[in-house]
Amino acid sequence: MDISVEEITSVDKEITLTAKREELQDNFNEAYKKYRAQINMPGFRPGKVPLHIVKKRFGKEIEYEEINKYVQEVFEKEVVPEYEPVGEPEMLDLQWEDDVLEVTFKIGSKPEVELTDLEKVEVDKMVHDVTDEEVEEEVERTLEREGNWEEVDGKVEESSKLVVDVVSLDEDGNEIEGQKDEDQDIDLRNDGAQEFRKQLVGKTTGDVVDMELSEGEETDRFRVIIKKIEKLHKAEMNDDFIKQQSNGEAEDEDQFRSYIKSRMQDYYDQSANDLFKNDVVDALVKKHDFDVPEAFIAQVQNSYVEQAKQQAGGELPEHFDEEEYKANMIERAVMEAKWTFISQKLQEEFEDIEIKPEDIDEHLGLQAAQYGVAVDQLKQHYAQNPNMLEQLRSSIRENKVFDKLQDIVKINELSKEKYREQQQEKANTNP
Amino acid sequence: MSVLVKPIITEKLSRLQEQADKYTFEVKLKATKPEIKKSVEETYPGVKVGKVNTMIMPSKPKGRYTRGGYQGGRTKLWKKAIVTIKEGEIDFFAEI
Repeated sequence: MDISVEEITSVDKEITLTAKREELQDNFNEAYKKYRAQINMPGFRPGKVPLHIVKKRFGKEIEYEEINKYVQEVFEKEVVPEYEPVGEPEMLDLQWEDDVLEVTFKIGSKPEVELTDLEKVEVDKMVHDVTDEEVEEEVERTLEREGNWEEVDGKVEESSKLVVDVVSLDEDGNEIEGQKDEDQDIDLRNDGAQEFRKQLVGKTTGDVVDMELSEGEETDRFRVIIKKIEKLHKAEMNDDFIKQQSNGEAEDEDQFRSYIKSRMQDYYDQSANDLFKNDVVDALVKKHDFDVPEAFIAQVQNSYVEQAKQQAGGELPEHFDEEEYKANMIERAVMEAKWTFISQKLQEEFEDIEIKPEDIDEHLGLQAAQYGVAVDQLKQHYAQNPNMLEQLRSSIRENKVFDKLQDIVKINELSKEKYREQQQEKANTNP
Repeated sequence: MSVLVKPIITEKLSRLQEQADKYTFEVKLKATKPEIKKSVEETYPGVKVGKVNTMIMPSKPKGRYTRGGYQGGRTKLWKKAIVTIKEGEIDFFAEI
């Protein structure tokens, strides 16, 4: 058996495996014996079929199966330890002719990443302290959300909700039969209801209004018949309301406000953190230039397709063009692939990040709270799935890397507005 | 037209093949020994037939029990030919 390597790029390799029949013969003989015992052929007692008949009748299939097994074994035992392939190896060619086996693989090897000076990397971070006005707005929104609608007599106001019948009209203003939608809700506070707001405010129940809505070149004509006018009654700020909205944590109005404030602050901190992570990844990927093995990118792309499949409910939509989707995602895939290697390198670099049992406990506690299951149950789940546990570990490790990075890289603290502006600019410059 | 219907491969007959170069076929009921000899030599080029032994296999009663009662019948009558080869070799699996 010979293994030869051809380097296509610094990270993509083509490995060719050759072997002669003599090297495989032992495997074949074993397989013949194994199959002989299983084959059921009319005219023979089970297991009594002569070997030469087995060979003649099933020889090719058995040999191909054996070759596949052999190739896999060699790949795992000889190729993997020596070349440490990353991503999904691809079998380009398998030939079994004139008693010579020739297999070609394409594998990616781990790229060498040289870290730049992390202290020189600049990353923006959004910093925002929740103001009292924002709290007030949020309280107002909560009151409105929890309020109820009540039917009123009187005129339509800008904040009303209407129940109407809508009939389509032809060009001369006559009703088109059969095109009537009954009991439609219109919330005049919505942005999309601007035209309705203009025309309907001031009307009363029973009024009939003919309207025209032009969208591009098309004009819709229809008649609106107002059946019901509803007005919002905001919820009242009382003890029950406070208790219910704060899950029993606040008892009076002041406490409720600070409860909302802390929740909003948590939310902003959390999203600032998430954004920061994204930005760090962006910045680091941009600073490092190295080749990524194609096999690894392909793996990432495949995982995107898997995700799309799961989002669509386990089955890809009928007209889903997998190749096109992959091509569209290539940039993101390259980025993610690069980040994977950078992150690995960082994890090696920061030797002192170690996963302690309490880290796992903490993480599990958070997850348990998030999914509403008992911690013990979660632990058991992880114990049964070593893969999941490995994922958990790597995500904890990555979090630790981010914590470390936060101390090392240069952080530009920006206000919420400024940060948004910058993001907008970035999105505009490279769409 | 060939009078051979199909080769017969069983444990016993494959032993006969190895030990005595005797190959077995199901043949048409009306086939004669010279016809069988000719057919085998035509079907398997390079083969010289020495002796042909034939036998008509008896029909046996065969039946099964169905919901409607016993369904009786008989197996067909057929002729078996055991061909001894003087020269060459026959590979029943050559075409597969």
